[in-house]
Amino acid sequence: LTTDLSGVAEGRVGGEADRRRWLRLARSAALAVLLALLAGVIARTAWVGDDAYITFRTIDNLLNGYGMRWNIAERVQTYTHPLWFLFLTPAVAAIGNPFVAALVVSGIVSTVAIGLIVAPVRARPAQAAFLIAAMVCSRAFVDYSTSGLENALSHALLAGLMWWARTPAGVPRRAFAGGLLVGLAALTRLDLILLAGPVGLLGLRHLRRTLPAFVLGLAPLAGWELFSVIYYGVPFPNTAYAKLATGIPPDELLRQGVTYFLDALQRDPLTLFVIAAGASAALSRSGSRIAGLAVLAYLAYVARIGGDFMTGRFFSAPFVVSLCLLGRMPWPVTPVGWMAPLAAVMVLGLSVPKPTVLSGPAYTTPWDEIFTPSGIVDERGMYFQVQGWLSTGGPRVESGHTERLLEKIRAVKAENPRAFPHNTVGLAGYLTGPDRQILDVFGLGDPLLARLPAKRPWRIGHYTRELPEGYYETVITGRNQIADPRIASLYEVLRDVTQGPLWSVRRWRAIVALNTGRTDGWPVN
Amino acid sequence: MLDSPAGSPHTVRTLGLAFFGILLLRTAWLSDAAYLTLRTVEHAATGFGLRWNVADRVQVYDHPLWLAVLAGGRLLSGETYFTTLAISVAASLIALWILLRHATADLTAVVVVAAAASSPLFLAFSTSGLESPLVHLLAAAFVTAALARRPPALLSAIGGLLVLTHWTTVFLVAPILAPLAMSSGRQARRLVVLTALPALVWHAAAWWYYGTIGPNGWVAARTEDVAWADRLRSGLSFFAGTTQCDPLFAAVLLMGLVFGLAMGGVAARLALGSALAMGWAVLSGGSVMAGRHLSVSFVVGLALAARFLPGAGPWSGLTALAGVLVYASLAPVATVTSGVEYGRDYLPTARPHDPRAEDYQATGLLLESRPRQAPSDPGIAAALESAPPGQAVAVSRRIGMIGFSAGPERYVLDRQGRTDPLLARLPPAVGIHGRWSAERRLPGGYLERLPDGAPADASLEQLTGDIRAVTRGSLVSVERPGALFRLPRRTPDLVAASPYGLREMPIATLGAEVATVPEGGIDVTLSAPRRIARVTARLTAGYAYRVDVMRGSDVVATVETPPLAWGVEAEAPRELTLPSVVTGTALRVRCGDGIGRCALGEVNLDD
Repeated sequence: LTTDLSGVAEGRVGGEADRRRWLRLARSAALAVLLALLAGVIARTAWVGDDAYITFRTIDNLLNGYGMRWNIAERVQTYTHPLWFLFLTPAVAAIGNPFVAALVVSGIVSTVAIGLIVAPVRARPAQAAFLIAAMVCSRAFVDYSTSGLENALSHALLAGLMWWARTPAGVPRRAFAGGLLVGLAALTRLDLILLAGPVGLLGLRHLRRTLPAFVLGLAPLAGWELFSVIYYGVPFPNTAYAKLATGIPPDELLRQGVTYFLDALQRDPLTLFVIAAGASAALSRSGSRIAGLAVLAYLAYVARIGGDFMTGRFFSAPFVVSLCLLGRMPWPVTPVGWMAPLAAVMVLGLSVPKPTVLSGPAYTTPWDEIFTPSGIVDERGMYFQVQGWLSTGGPRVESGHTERLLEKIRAVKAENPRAFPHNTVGLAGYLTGPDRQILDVFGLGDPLLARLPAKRPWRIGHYTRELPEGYYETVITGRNQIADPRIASLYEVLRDVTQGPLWSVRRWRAIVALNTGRTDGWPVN
Repeated sequence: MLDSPAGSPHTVRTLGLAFFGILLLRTAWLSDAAYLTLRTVEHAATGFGLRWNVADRVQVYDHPLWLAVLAGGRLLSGETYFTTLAISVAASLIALWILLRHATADLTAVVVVAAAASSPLFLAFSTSGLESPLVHLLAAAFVTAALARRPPALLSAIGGLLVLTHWTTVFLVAPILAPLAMSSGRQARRLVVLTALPALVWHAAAWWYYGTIGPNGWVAARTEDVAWADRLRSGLSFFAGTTQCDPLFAAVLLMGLVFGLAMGGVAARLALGSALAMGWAVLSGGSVMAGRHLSVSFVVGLALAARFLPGAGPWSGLTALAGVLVYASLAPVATVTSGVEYGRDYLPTARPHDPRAEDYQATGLLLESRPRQAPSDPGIAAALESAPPGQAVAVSRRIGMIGFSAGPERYVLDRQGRTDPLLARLPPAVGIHGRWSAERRLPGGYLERLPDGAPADASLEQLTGDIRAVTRGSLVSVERPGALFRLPRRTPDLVAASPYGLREMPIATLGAEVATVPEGGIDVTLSAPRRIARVTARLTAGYAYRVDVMRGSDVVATVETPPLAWGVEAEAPRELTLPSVVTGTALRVRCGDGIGRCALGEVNLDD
């Protein structure tokens, strides 16, 4: 008391309090500026990729009463992200424009994700600044915070799960929340279970009490799987069959997967730096080792499947988890100690050929640079000028390709009264509308082609299939004219599963045959 | 649960390692010299033995332990390129991790990481396929053990492995181990044995298997017989070139010496070892690769800096960091901006040169055309196609890569003699290349008769016979031991009597053969005054030339050439166009900076 009083007498207490208040204000202002910068960068780079339109077509058909179908003739799940689909559908219904709806929902969900990443470290400005700067400079994070794909939702759910995992879940209610987050993450994209599952289980204490509640939290995922089997006839999206069952030898895919990492190393080293640092930090601490292993397991999975054709896309989820892990690390308090990580982020983020912060309305990748031997492309660079919100001529509310493509589609429709084969079926499929069946030669939207081996040479994410002899005629006439008897039987099974009455015995026998691989000899009509 | 107690310096080290790792991967490459070893590894893994050309037992590598590590990796993975890089990256990361353990303060850790990640040469040698990553790892462990006063047996064991990785590290370990060895009787002897045993066993085995104590390159260097004064001048030029290539690298070398001497005791002896290693690198003439064999001293420098800085006052760390950043900014290329295009337009005109720039476009990890098995370079295919399939091919450059790409069935003859037991024993022919890669004249019929036949030259018969007995004869044959002892003694006699020797004759006439240019230049006298528009001549790559057209004692015209790129095949005559057509009675040609052997030959005039 004496000290306090003497301090007041000398005017020190008030001065110190003022100094601290101003310091707090300055830190808050600095963080606000950084957050504004992040928001600005994401807004400036906002775009919608062609693949998002595959989902938009299903939403369009659903909203027009045709069911959750891409080609209205058959029940096929062409979207990989059920929860994202369920998020987008009401937004499209409300706004009436999928392009705008995707951008709005992405913006909201990304804001939530950023909030969940930064909020745990809001009292530690240096650490928060590091995390925000990393998000600003990470090409994978910035590009896929919009894009119309599910990444933004993945970021939010994983960040939420990492927040949940900050304190152990010893009571059923918290365990249920953890299970729910894991289930929702997996429902957003099934392979996220590799990242989310271990983190969720790591957070449980008193397993006998909490595990049942955790499992109960997975109910939405189980529910979706049940629905998927009943409605679509298979537990996994058609894209999984199209991309994972290509007949390409594992060593070729692994080599392509390594190339995917090296591509990111060239275009977006910062993202890999954060992932490496986050995983290393987690692995070096006994309490978070499983989270580090989960990141490594996910990366191994990405390498194993050959990565993706969109540069950096599959790294945004482990990036978010790693950021959260770094957010848990004790942060250096000396000026050099906390400035050095920030400098590392800035150096790596700004030294690449196309830094995110310099991406303006004219952002593009020239055609001659898009298709490299690896098949991996800068997808945003490819589409930004026609589908970037604030690209040249923006703000856009629809793809700049719409008019040109509609003209082509009208010509194709005139020649093909029922169906036609096509590749890159995103925007083209959406603009085609419900009155034509599209035979997607990449197999993403076609259940038969998805189950046939890919042609060679192959490109990652674009596994072209040969149309089986008689397949097109079969689709046109409705009579199975496929020459190869095994493929004819497979088609027949698929037709029963995707087009037969939902509860018919024949359909359920076909579902069993399809999922157990016993389609040979199925009677052909 | 995922939260950790505050205040750990662990975070800076983790982030630092990740940062260094990313830059390491972005700059990862394999050098041509590494492919000499990798071809041997490939042959060993496929059952041909530890040989470069499967026909001969010739040791082309000078890093036995590194070769063993690579061979183990190759056997496990069945693949060479990624395996070599993975081993290199892992060793380099562990080395930095050990170094960072010296850094107890955030600032020191930042200085160490910034220096390691900003030095182009340290990063280059942290992959490269050469033994440097393993040397870095063992040197970091050795320095750590020495500073922590670990048991002498441990120090000796690490020292022994270091020397087995590359013999030049003996200079680093000697000042630490020598006093230990001299300090007591029986224990001292055990220490000496422990240190020397791996290397002694290896050299004995290598002598029996290969017939030489040391790699074939040593034999070639001995035959070249470069004067120590020349070596020293060349070594100083190498050090200057290294500094030019990477000022930070040189600064850390010197910083380590200063800090070590300032700390005294073990640190001072480590600094002395580092200085000796540097001294040997300079005295031996250096290397064509800037910074080669100096990176071990860089590691010692970082370790000593990490020890010294925390106790040297609050500003010393900041000063060191500022110094690192300033010196890093002086490098021609920043490590962080090195991407897929690195070295695309590089012409290695300077010696020594940036080693990574020369080979990155053939072996860089970031390249889309990164090697799946053999390196990708159009020159390699062209070289292999220069002779019919199955026939031996003679090469002057990219020897390692061409040899690796050729496969085991092709005999590849290295004109510089580093991989060929006969050419290594022939003196270098003057000319096309310089001090570091002296080519040999091929004995008549030698190339055509390989791999089975001997050269037609009768004066080489005995030498060839002994070489064949040593490198191809049965390891347990009766003749072989005699040949093993005779072979080292044959070489000097042959050099003296050989028609393949170096000729220091001035060129007096047009069209004369290639010969060295004396330091004061050379005069080419014309039989009558001639109008001259152009001069054509064969020149040595890597040197600048100046040609004065003389009329009497007056210089009437001058033409100069910048140093020719080493990558350019210099077999074809170069054309030097005069500013105007002049009449002259002689040409005076000067070249180079007096270091090495620039040459001139087949001078012709065009009017």
